[in-house]
Amino acid sequence: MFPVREAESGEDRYHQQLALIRERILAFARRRLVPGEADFADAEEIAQSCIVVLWERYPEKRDLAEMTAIAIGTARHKIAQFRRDRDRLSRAAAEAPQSAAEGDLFEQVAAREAADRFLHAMLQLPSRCRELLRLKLVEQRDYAEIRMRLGVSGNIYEMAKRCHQALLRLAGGAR
Amino acid sequence: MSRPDAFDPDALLLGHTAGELTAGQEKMLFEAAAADQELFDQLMEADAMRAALSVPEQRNRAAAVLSAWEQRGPAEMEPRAASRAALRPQPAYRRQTLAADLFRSVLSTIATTAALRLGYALLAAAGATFVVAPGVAAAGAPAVLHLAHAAVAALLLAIQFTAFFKPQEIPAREHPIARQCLAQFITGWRWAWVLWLALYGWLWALTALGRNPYPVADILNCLTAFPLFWCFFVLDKPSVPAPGQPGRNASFRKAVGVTWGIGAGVALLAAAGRMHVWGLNEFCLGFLGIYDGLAIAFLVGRFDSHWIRVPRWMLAPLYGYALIQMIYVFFFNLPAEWQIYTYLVALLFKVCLFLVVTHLLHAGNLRVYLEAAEDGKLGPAAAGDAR
Repeated sequence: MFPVREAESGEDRYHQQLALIRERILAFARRRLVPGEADFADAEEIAQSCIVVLWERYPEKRDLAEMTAIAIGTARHKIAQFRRDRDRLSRAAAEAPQSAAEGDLFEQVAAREAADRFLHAMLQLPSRCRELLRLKLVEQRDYAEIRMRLGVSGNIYEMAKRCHQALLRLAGGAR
Repeated sequence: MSRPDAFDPDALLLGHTAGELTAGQEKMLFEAAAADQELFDQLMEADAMRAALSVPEQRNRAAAVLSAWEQRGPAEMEPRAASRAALRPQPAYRRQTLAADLFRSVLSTIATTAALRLGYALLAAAGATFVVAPGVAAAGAPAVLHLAHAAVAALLLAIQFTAFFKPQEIPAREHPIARQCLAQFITGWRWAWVLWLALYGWLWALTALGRNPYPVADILNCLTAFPLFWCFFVLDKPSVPAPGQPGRNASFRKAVGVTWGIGAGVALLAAAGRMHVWGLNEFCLGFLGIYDGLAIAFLVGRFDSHWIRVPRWMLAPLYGYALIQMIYVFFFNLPAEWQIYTYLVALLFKVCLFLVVTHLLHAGNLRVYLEAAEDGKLGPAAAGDAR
């Protein structure tokens, strides 16, 4: 199912997985950042720094799923950090509490930017989709209650999947 | 409802954003993302959203923005959005013809005639078991009928204190006002059944002893209406004081006080009419019928809210129950058989009312309504009128 080939040794396999993850992050960063915000070298740097984090801080992680999970979280922070360095932080920092530590401030800005993208995408959705995802993701209601609130007689779960797909597409193009 | 047990990337992504995946499902998703660039990109977005919404400040901000958008945006920015009156998908348009309309009308006439005839036959068959002898009925409804009524009321009251059909709770943290409103409603609703039990128990006891149960029964009958008014006001007015707003429930208290006073006046007049004092007669029982009928009609009318979502056909017997209260004015003049039939119909409607309210409590319809009221979603007037 997955393209990681059976390797001669565990170490070879580990390097293959690192290369695969690097490829994914690089492709993502190129697609999302390069058109307007960065050049290819920046994307390379982000991908490389994620691999360095995996290599240096989590050497015991050898499972592909675990490595991918760490890489995704790291990539998110690296991209946010890159944007901060591109002077996006200064505007958001002015809105953040003065007493916040730098680390907290960075987390706040990253969360705020992600929330902004989420909202931007949500507001482009049809009203029923927006309401459904608001109840599910923001209010964390269960599907039975959402179905009742929206008066949906069909499969609310399938509807939620379609709406969520649309949300992800919109968020991806919202930059 | 399906869950992402099998490999379904869309389901797994949704579950990841919602934070509902098991460890096994997370592993499946991340492995698949490592192998598929498109899925990886989507997972990046889903993960960022999840991380953002896990920060309470950002979640609250998102909730506030979306709520403000729903309240202000749709009218100006989404002119084709469905109104609240059309929450269900609209059926495909079909051209209606005069013949179809006529056919529908004729069909409903035939169906109504047949159904009512059958209903009367069943009612007469059931009622005949209470009549002493054909054509020679007792002076009123027999004691056993009151006992049956009281037994049903006791049963339906007792059920409310069991785990069956337990009302859906409202979390105090998210909707503290709605939670208190629900408690007020349930209290009123249970008192209504307590008073119905008292009324029919009294009727049974006095009738069995061969004594006149009136005018005490009239007063009890009037009292049964008050909890229904109470339930209506809980749904209709801000009935709970809020921190910093001790007078928030002032209109509720005023309405309850006035309604109680009117009820006391009506009961007094009905009792006086029954006893033929102050130059009054049984005509005054009509006021009692109106008071009882209005209590049910107001409450049922509130159930008509789209937020409560009671099917319209289900409201018909409830409005019918409100209407038959007017029979009370000439009830004592009815032939005994008719009194029995009326009692049976009233019992049937009462059970319908119980089933509808129990459904609203158990299925969470009332919870949704009260939460929407607290959130200020019940319409323009609700801004200052949230429960």
